[in-house]
Amino acid sequence: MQETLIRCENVSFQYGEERDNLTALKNIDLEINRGEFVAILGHNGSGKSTLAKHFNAVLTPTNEGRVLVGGIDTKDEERVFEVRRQVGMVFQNPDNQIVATVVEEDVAFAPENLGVEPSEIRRRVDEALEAVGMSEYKKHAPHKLSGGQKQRVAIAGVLAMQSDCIVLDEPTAMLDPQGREQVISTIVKLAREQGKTVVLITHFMEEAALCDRVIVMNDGQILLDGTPKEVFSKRAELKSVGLSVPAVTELCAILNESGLDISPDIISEEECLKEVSRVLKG
Amino acid sequence: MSIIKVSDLTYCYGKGTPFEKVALDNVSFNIEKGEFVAIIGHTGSGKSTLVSHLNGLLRADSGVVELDGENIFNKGYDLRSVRFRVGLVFQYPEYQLFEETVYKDIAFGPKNMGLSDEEVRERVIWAAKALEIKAELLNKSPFELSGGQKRRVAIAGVIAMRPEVLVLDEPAAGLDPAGRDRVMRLITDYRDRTGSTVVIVSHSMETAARYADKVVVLNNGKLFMCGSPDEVFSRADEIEKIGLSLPPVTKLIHSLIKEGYDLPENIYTAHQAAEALLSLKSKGGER
Repeated sequence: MQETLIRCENVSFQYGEERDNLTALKNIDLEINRGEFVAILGHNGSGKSTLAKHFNAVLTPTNEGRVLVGGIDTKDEERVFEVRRQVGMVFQNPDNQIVATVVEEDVAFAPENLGVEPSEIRRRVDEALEAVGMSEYKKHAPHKLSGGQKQRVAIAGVLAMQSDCIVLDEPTAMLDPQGREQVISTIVKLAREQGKTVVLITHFMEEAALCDRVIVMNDGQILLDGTPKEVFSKRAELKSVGLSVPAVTELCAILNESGLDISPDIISEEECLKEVSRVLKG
Repeated sequence: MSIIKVSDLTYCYGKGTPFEKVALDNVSFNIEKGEFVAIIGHTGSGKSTLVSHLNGLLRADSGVVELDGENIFNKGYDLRSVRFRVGLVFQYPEYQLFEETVYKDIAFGPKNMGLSDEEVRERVIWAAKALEIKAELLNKSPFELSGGQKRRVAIAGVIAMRPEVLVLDEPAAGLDPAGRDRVMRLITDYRDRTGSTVVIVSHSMETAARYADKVVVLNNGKLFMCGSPDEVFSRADEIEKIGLSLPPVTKLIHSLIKEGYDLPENIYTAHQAAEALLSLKSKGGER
């Protein structure tokens, strides 16, 4: 039985009244189930970050539409903390979201604010740092960590709140390949092994290919919604909205169009190597 | 002819303190006039420290940076003029926009060069055009623009000084795929049209392979490799060992070569790979 964690009903959002031409979201209907691993793609300004901010009540719809998180309407100001406890956010810039001078204190910040017992905080912080592979840095100063390490500390902060869902807004955009790898493998582990609901906003098609479901935003609306294979097989459509497909998908699609008997919906490097080897032998 | 010559450059952060860290260790290489150079290396390898020396923002502990044959660290050398001749675009330069209008922001550099209002105006319009910034945006506040537009305005502000060497630290980071391609295309066009020398710092091997004439690889503050993209990327194993990764299609082709297929090593894009595979297939595809 699939249980809906986040439900958007006819959600529209407009930034500021004086700039009334800037409607960032237009009548979005969307459901995200508990345990799902979802990527949201879209060019800069397509509305993907605005949408994500609705998932934990940082923003609420400016029309009569509503967002329900675990059944709670995010417009209900009395219960906004319940919403935020369920859905934690990690942002793009690793330097803008660390508050403490010691790693473990930073991770403890959210549960402390929730009034959790000290012994329970200790347990949660240790668990969270373990889950992101940062236990050995718990006494370190966050500003001396690399970008990838800082992002993992930020993720640990969300885990320590025991959120059901983590929303990450381009968490790897400012990282180098190594940092990106660390963060992505952490995210995949949380989704696959710990059953967390994960919403990953990204500009990297290779990252989206790792998810169960890919949603493509354009001009404040949902353009595509499906499995990575379904979405990345619409190469022309993605290009027309400023996106691309993973390089290996592009390669297989070109080979397919050139008449080779190769599957055009390849999304991983391993699959691609297998497919190409098969065709070369054949 | 070399426009920039870096010889035995060494720089240490926090010298004499317990946090002393050697950021650059005896680095030497040349940049030829008109060349497109990519400096790559993982975080902490010294890339940004290195480019900060190219226009004298940092002063080396030892070693020399020569611009057109003259050491910029010499006593009496006019460092201010170096800042105009070597234009530096930092990472996420859009955070440095500060003026009331896009026009004023782009005009800031040329104004500081002491140019007349007329010349400044001409430069701003030229730079805006080169970066595809529409005329109607010039009177807007930079803070009303989208991320991609802001990035282009910030780059325009530096090229408006018409530097002989344009240095950009991660110019495409954080942009969507179309935005990345556009910024790289505009930089390439600018280079082709003006004959300027361009140096980019990048994490992306693909960018380096696609655009650069020369690739400089740094590792732990030392020069690890320096050569054409083909020379550098043919040493894939070494590159991966220092924490850099090859473009996905390059990895694919290298795996196929290891399986015995006769394919060229220097393949970086899906199109190049498709071409090579199709030509192999038409030859019978035998090992």
